[in-house]
Amino acid sequence: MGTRDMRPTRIAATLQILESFVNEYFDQNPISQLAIISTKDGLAEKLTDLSGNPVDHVNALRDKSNKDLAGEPSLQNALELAMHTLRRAPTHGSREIVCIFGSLTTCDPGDIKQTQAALKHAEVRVSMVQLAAEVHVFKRICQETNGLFAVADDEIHLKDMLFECIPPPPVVSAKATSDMIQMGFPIRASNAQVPTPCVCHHELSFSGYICPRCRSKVCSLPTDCDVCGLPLVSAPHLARSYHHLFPEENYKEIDVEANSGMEAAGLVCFGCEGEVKGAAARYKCPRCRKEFCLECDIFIHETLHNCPGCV
Amino acid sequence: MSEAAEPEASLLVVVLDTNTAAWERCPLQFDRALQQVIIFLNAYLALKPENKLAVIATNKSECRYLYPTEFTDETTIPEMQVYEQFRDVDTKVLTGVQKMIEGGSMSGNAPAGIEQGQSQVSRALSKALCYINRGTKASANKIWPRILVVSVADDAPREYIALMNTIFAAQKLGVLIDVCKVVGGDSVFLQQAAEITGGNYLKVDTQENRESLLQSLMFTCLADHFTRSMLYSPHNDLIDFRATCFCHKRVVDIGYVCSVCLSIFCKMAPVCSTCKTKFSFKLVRAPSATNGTAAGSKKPTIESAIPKRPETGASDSLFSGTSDRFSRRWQRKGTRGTETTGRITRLDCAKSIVEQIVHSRENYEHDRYMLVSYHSATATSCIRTSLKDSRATLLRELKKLRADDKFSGGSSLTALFNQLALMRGVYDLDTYGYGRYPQLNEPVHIMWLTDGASV
Repeated sequence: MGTRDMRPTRIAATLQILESFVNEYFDQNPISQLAIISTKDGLAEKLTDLSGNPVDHVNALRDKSNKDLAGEPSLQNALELAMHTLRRAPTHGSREIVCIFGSLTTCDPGDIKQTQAALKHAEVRVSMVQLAAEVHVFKRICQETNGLFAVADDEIHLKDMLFECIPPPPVVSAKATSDMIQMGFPIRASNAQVPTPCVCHHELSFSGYICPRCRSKVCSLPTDCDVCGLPLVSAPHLARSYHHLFPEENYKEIDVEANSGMEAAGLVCFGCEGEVKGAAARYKCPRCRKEFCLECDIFIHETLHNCPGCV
Repeated sequence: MSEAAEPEASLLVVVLDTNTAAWERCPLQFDRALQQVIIFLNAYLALKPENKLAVIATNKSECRYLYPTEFTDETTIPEMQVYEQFRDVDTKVLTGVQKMIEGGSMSGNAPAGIEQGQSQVSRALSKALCYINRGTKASANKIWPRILVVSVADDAPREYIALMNTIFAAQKLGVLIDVCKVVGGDSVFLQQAAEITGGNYLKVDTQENRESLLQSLMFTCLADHFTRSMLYSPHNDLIDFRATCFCHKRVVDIGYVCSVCLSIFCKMAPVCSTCKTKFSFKLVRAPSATNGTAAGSKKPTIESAIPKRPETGASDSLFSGTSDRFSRRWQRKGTRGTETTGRITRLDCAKSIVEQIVHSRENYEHDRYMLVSYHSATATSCIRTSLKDSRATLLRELKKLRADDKFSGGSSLTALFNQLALMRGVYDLDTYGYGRYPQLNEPVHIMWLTDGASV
């Protein structure tokens, strides 16, 4: 990973892209958890444990000692360590491993086919992005576990391929259960005078969130309460995915030339009060029948997920 | 501090709530409040010539742009004393509001579900964001957008999802949402909006001082993005981030979340009403033995009741080494051997259940088990294995169990609880008068396997 085909070195470029990956991942999957494992010199080491707080991961990635490179990587050790970490995940969630590999070899203590079988049995999905060239063994592991495999040409391609792993995989497993999970919604409390300890780090702090079941203080959300085990989230975390539940309608494009009855006089867009000049296409919502310009259409469907007319 | 080559302009969109029912409750009259808002708008425009402004008014039944609008007043005689741009804004806002109030009193076509005291805030915010999107893309220089909501109406629970969508979109675009609540109680949704996007939430007190609206607006909401970093803004520490349940729209502390669609309910239900998923309740793990096994205690929730944080640090607990303790005891009843189903007795079924459970928890090294059965020879002979024995010992003693015909559940339980109390006393788990140490949590599960035959 020390070659300079990506600026400034592969490892530096990878770490930077990983930081933006972590932020984007928690943006799209707010109540998920992530752990980071690195491998060098034939061993695998856990950089961060499974947690839902992006700040921990970003700090670990920024650590300077990550840039020290040594020896050969060990894919089997890394996969075994990852599987062990993932064992705590509940059955209604999906378990995935995403690897970024720069080497063409791996130095393993045992038979990687056994690891592959164990991964398949545990229904863990392995995806990999290679930086050098395609290696058959790695590709087979990814294919057997229904993961994505790609070889990156440059930084931009690496970023794109990595971001493809962010959306959750489709659930095809028979073992997956759908449950009602009990979750707590804590209130933020802050005491300006006296600092109190939190149960997650045992450090004194002035503000935190109070678990509704056992009234102990945690520092940040989302997390599991260390005392009673209740998953604690805040409503905005769950609300981030509500636009998938109640999606807005796709707008129909109305071609102005085709309907010669329409005046060439511009239309005022319902969303932004901008003029839509004669020849430009207008977009109509089938539910509320209001018309929008192209900019508003793109914005509404990609970012806002709310039709101003239907809301 | 960097000096920008081009002056960096701001784009402010003001969402004005003109809900007449809500304004009637306010000690500050609407026209005076409107005057104060207009003075604020003029002040904003006076800060920099490049500043851009838009005003949207919202109401129970409609939501429209007051400025910039297309219509122009026919008789506009340029006045000498008033700056032209200010006059433009002032007249358009005033006439727009007047039209809205007149129009609102006649028509009653509010969307379903909106009550008298509520306004279409999410629609106004969506339109504001569309305007900001166009404004920032169209301009060549960097524009800093923000939104000011002058709100009087209450929260409409039906608008929760739409409002959260607008808040997240605003967060993505870097738009600050300031909220100025003039009358009524705190609006939970708007508080969250201000908190998530980084804006200010102000509750204006119009009881004491009628002019305090203008003062609050000028002091807190006038500053642009750069200046705000140097100001000490009012911040609210107790923001309620709790959710409302989908079924009753009540605020919940501990709710049940569907794992498929993430909708929140206040009570458990067998089917999710949003995505129609049937939930699988994890029942007793033992697959085959169904006869005579009445599990006494909470078997289904054992897996979820496990505290997930095993390592709390050896320095915290009194015991060196083991930090997570999780013990189980079993009790057995007699009279099982006599009634047979086929060639297997009920006792055998019960034994196989226990074995399966012990095997399924092989990975949890910190579990401790105790086996108790009915045997009333002496006070403690019913306790077959103690907490210090290993799993192998438990399984061995299990095989040796025989059914006898006497029911002595009461004395067995007494012996069991005495043993537990003894253990807690030895390890100082019960602190009398010192309060509870939550880290020294030792959950005990008692599984009473009995065939329910009469005493």
